Amino acid sequence: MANKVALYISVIVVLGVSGVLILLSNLEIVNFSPFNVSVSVGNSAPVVDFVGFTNIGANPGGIANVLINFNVSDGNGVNDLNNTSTKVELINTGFGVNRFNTTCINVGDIDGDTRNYNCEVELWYFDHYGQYIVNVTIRDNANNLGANSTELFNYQQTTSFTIYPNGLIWPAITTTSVNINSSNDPLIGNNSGNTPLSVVNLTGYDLPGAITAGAFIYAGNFSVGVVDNCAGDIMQNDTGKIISGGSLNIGNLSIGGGTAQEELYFCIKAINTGTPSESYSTTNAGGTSWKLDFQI
Amino acid sequence: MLMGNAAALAVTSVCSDLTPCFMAPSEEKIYDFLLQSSPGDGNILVRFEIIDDAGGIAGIVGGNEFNVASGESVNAKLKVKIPENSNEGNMVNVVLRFTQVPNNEGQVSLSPSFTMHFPLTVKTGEAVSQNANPKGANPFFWILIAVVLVFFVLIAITSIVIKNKKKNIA
Repeated sequence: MANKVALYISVIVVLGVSGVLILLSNLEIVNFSPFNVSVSVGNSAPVVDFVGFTNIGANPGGIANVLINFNVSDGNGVNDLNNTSTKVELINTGFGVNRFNTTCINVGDIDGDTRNYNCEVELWYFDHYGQYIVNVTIRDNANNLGANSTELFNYQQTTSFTIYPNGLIWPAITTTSVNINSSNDPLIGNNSGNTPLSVVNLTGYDLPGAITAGAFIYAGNFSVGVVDNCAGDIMQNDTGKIISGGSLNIGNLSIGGGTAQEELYFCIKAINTGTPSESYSTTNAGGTSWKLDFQI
Repeated sequence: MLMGNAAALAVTSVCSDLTPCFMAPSEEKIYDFLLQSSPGDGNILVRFEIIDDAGGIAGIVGGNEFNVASGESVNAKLKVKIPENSNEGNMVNVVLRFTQVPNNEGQVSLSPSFTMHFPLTVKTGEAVSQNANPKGANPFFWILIAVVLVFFVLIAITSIVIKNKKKNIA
């Protein structure tokens, strides 16, 4: 609207000035001498005037391809655009993430001045969820820069994890046994998403015997911790317990060394005197699987 | 006893603390939660439940158990209706849990889950549009107009000069 008003005013002013000059000339009030006039029109910088995309979340354990579509206009025509100079960045300064692609594809010309491009930017599963600045840049053949960083891409929150094994086993024990570690721990949790999980909450349940009604290995006989010993947190039947020091941060699992992983160690500290000799399991009748809840 | 590996449980939410969603008073909306199982990890059975419905404003639409095939995805749906008397800026926090139904293996079988917050902010007035793509004016158009106007002035000046020259010769 402001541009249109400026245009109208310009037209009126120019026409008015020209008219006055012609009038004054005819009345011989002004007498022009010949002079040289040179007009030079500068090179127009490209303008990135449209940026479009769809918000998506992480691809668990892999790469999410974010398709960015954008239009670039150049007053000197599309042939002045340098296709090889295109660059699209996804930037999150808060989490120190900068992913980019410099090989955008020329999809086609919209008209003589405007060209449409596609660019795929890869975001990893361990890039933190949140808002990313979409920075699109391109240069023309005179090296003039066109840029647009007004749009925000939402890298949606994807919570993803794997645990293994998904059941724990113990060797045969007696009522005199103490501090018996599970024979297939640690339980390893892998964070394969873009969301840190800061709390590990474990709800234990008594293990019923396979034969004797009312026979249990009690949840309170177990300890669970992040260190390979029997000094972890003591479980309680049907009660959530936050595992001390437990968390599942995001990270590149390929690095290894515990990145984006948590290890949990399970121990039977002892069983009650008089516990009948038989098989005990959460899978027996009346048993309940333990709930391992990760919390954001 | 042979112990299998657990498959990956993955859920994507459009709203989070860092990617906020807005709703107006009286507005009703259904949100999708994308449940995924990684390729090669096997099928998983996922249970969807509401831990805190924020005063009864949220409810599950459709089923609450989903069989997600390996490498596939399905949508769980949550309906939210913001009360009419909600004030601008109020934060509504629905708490959800997604649980992977256990395979019942071992002496202690584990049922993994995660609990997440689903925050919504009440906003009155104009609807919030995400990813708005404002189009700027093309400057080339205005440059062209300017050139035409300059050209017009030059013609006027030239005509005056020619007229004056003719007058001087005469």
